Amino acid sequence: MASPFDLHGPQFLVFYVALGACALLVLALLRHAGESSQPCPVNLSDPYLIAYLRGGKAETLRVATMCLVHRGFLTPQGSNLAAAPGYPRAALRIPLEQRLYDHFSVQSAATSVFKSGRFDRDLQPYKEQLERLDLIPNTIARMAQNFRAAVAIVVLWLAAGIKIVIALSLGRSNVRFLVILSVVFAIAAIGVARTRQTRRGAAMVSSLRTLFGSLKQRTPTLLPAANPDELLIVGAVFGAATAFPLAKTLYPKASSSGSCGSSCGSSCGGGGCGSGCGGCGS
Amino acid sequence: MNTPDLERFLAKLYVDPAARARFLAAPYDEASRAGLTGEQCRALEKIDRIGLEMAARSFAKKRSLKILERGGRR
Amino acid sequence: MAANVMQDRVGLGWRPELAAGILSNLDRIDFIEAIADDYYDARGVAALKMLAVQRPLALHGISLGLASTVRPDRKRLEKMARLVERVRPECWSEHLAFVRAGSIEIGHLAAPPRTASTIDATAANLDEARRIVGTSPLVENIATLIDAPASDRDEPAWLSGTLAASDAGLLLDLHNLYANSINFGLNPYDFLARLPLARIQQVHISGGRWIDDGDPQHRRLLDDHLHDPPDPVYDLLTKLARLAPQPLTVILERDGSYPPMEHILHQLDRARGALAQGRSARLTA
Repeated sequence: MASPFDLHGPQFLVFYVALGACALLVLALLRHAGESSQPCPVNLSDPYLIAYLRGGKAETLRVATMCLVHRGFLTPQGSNLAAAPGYPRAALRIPLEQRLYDHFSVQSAATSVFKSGRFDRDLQPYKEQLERLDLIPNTIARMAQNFRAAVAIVVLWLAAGIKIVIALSLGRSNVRFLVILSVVFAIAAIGVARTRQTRRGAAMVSSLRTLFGSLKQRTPTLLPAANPDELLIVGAVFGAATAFPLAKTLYPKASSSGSCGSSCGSSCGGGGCGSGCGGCGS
Repeated sequence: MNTPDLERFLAKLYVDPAARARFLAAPYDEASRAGLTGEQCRALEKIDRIGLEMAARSFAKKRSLKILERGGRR
Repeated sequence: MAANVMQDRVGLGWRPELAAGILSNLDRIDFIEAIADDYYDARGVAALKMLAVQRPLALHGISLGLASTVRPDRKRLEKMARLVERVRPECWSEHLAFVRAGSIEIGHLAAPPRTASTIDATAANLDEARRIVGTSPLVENIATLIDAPASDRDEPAWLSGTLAASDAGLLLDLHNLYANSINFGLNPYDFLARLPLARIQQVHISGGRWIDDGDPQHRRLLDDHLHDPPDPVYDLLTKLARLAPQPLTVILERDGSYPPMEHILHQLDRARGALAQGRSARLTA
């Protein structure tokens, strides 16, 4: 019986692409089968929970910091931030915000928050709550993801490795494409197998983007003083850079993700006698 | 007394200012011309004229807002 | 203020402008009602399903036109059916209105002639809706600026007749009841008393404003959903709570001119207070 390793170069590449695609499909199906996308009750009163779900620790810190900047508690100085004098720390109700304010009591680079471990204990409860609700993978789920990714990579690299050895033993050295493909598929396997959110978590983020779509469209009209909560929600759901224009300056990696497609703001209800059943006066 | 024809006639009164003006000038004749029964025509002679204009304006505004919304979604 | 022992609930119509406030204050909102017509696409359905898990949810249609001698559009009913099946709301509702005739779209809810033929046709339409969607809708009384043309009975009689001819529950809009009473010379308390109160499952409260046609003598109360419910609506709610033997779900409707969320939440608390007052009067009667 013919072995795929007997295939000539270009034909083996086609086989390898098919093998890689199958591996990715299997990873996706295993994840699909192992995770539910059914929604669950979640306390959504803390937007930082949503920020953590969407973007993890780093994005939560970005959103929280930018929120404080826009509320005036932190003052930007170039790429640094400093706690603004005259703003009472007692006005900050959330421990994460209080700790950020304290962190910048000495002027520091905005990105210094990522290097400091002092926020871990404020962020840990978000992680634990999201894991409990199966919105992000817990430790066991993450290990299972890693294992599946590792198995896929081993299979793919074994196949590539065998073919490379055979090719080299036959005096052929044009293995560049195969090496590149094996690296690309390895990265893809990690991306498919290891996700920040579970299916349920991803579905929640998508639903929140739909529900808040029209709020996102109104972002340019939201004032930090009048609408701090709404700006925070835009940041949590769509990314710090969406809600806070300064975010990209202070945090070049800040995301402004979240196209909500045709559903953005399609749950209409305009500013007055829109899609509800109220009448319209003349 | 209500029939699809009567509802169609009322809908036209609500959305068509010219039809509404003709009706208000000669309610029985216009209703009769639309094929409504004698009973329906007589009932329409007693229509709430003030309410008719107000309702028509309200419906028109609602329709134009819906068009604006649909345009905004595209 | 807690709901009384009869498990009355007080909630809010979902509007995107209120999304942030609603989701941040779910502990003060017992129930959510979403306009069904806004959610017929796939992403909207997923979002509604998520909402339905956070709080009991009702779907509120505005375009079926069930109070008509014309059968409702089957495609629209099937869309509603699909939405109900996927979202699994606690219930769905529609209005006792006609919204189109032939190729003419009126653009909003119009009062049909209040006649026996409308009652029979509406009952048939509700029956068809039940067959296609799987459950009967609650039916809501509408506000109207025009005294329904070619009518042979008043609104309480027509509503009662429609409910008697079908098995649908009533979504009683108290501001619509109040506005129609004011506009057409009925006593709102008599209106309320003449309805089959045991059929009321949900209640809408909202507000409006006076409009006229240029002549102040011709003013009418418009139910525009842009204002707070006026005091008489809360009084009617208290009265209803005193008379109705079953739990009620009260939903505040606001379509625009949004005040701060705390103000809206205060309206919900006020509704709770009105319910409690009525229930308490019922117990001591």
